Amino acid sequence: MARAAGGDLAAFNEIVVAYQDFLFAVVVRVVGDREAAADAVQDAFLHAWRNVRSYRGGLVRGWLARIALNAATDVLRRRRRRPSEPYPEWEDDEWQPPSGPATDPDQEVTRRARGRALAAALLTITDEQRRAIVLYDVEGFDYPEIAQLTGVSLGTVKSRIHRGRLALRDRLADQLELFRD
Amino acid sequence: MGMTERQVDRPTPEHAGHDRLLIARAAADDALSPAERTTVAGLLMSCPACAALDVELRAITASLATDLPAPRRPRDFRISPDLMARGLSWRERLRDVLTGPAARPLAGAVCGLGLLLAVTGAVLPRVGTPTTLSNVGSAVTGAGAPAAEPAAGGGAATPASTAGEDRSTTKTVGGPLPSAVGIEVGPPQPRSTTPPTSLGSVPGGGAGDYTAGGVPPAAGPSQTPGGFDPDTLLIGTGVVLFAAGGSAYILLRRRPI
Repeated sequence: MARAAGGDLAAFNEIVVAYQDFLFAVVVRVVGDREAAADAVQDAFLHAWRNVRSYRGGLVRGWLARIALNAATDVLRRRRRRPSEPYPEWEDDEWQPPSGPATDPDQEVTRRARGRALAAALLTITDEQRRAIVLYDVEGFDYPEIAQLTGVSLGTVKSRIHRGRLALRDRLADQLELFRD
Repeated sequence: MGMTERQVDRPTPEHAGHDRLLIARAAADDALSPAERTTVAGLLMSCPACAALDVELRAITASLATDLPAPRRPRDFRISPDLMARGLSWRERLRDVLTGPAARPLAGAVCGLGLLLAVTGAVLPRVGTPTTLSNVGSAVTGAGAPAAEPAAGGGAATPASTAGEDRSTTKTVGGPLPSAVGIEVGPPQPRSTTPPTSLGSVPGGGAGDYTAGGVPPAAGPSQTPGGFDPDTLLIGTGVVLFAAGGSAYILLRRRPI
């Protein structure tokens, strides 16, 4: 990071390689559109490069996530609630992580069905709830980190997560058998 | 799971009045007060729908962490020299400024500048405006109103006509010469609002020329000949800058990068 702050593009690109999968996963789940998410991530890395001198220490992951979330917010603001195709690549099994040899095929089918149902339901809750749930339940950020990333209070973060989970449960009401053991 | 389809699909009528958010908080292992813990325990024991909700929320939460496949990125996001060399549109440049590290200080500076302009416009409304010159010119001639009348009537006041009117009420130095028009040495005139001692602050010739030249006086007490009030313009600009800068300063706290 120090070399990147000194203007070394090759050093910054090492950071890009290390974090691009993570950032794209976060943004595409928040935005729900692959192309828009890709543009937002590219913009975020460019913005980070131009402002690399503003990096004040701390976790690079959080710094980049904050920039990427701002870019995702801009995408959402532009698009508002325009319907988009939810993760079209998920319909294609090529895109799925390979299952282990010991995995029961029936369980694998159910797991993928759960994933598709969750992805579709995520796109129907509010942007704020989705952002909080993606950061907490999917990406593993804790409450204070999310509060810092999204610029809201700890209580608001918790409220969004709880209400978002309730909303997800309601959207999945007719598919709850997928989640029963 | 422990719940049957029948129990889940047919919640009791009382369930509608139960606190679902409290169940969600309990399912997330959120910190609950002793009273809330007691309430949750009672609901989970007595209401099958609440118990099912608790189980479903936990299952959905666990599934979010494990079953949501990682989307594959469509391209490499490394920054190439070509990408860097790409010209930025004015929107991108503006966005970079507004979301960059200098945005908040810039907003604060705009806010401060607005405050300064507004205060300046409110505290120093008369300094340096044409009103001062107009008043001084009237005082110098000792006959502001008569001097203004010919100009207001459409014709330029000639030095001779102005001098002639002045001679009827004041003594002039050096006789009826145009160069001496308006330089009074006598007592203050009743219509004058500024004592003659203000002569010292304005060159005599300049003041005399101003009146004698027939330049029409200002239309209002603080307006320029152009028709707008510079004080109001200053204050208005200051208020707008103050409000815009202050709003941006507050809003940019929410987007620290």
